[in-house]
Amino acid sequence: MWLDCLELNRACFGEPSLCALGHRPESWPCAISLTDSLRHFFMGVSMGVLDKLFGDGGKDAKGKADFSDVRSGGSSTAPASQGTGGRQRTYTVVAGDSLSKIAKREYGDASKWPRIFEANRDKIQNPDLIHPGQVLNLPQG
Amino acid sequence: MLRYDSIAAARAGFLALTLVVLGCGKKDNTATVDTGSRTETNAAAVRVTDLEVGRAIGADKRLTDETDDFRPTDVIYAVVETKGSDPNAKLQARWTFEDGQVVDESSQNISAAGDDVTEFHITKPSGWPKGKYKVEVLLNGQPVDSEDFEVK
Repeated sequence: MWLDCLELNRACFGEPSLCALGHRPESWPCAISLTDSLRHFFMGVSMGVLDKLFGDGGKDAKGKADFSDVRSGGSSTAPASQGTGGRQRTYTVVAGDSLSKIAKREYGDASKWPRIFEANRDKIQNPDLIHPGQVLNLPQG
Repeated sequence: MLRYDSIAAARAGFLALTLVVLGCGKKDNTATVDTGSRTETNAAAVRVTDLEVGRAIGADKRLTDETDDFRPTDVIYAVVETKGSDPNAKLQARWTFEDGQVVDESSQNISAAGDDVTEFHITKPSGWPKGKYKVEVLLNGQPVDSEDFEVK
């Protein structure tokens, strides 16, 4: 019995959530262990929720800022050169976007939306209907 | 007759030698001038004259709302002004956070001619973490200007 409890305690300390979900102790020392495990488990969950609600959402678990969803673009009054190293600029649609909004942001002029539409005719059938997550090619402004 | 031939030969030899020396000298000078002028042309071809950051631009690519204090939801623009011509100039914007993390890096190859304005912008749908940032501009791979700003 003691050996079982020791094993369970070891398992609980190693993986509290497993104990909370799967192991059912039958002795007093193990019940203490389960209580601790549940406490750790729910403390972790609640800390995560609190962090989401009140913490700096832009930082990951290690406290480093997360820039994985950054979108970038650019345009110039100068024409694009044929040099190497250039890239096809793209834009990923987010909720609330429209072609004119994207044109305003990318070219500073909402009325240039047809350029984006023409450059993406293979992806856009209706210019009034674009979807979050769609990756659009951006022609030079 | 023999003496006349010797003198003529000596004169011809001297003339040939002089021409060779002058010719070599001329060639060397031309190469130096050529190399020098080519280098000078490249150095003066295109240069960055201004870099500013803000939250909106107009149709002419210039900032309409210049600031260095941003909100987490802002689109952040860096506007680069260049002068000079280069048919294949590479402008690059490198955005970094206060801890040194590279936020984004993008480039544009432009055919610069005269006064041009090039804008770079970044957005973050989930909001910018508060803190200090920097945008550094590189022209043909060389850092030429930078600007600090803050998200509050």
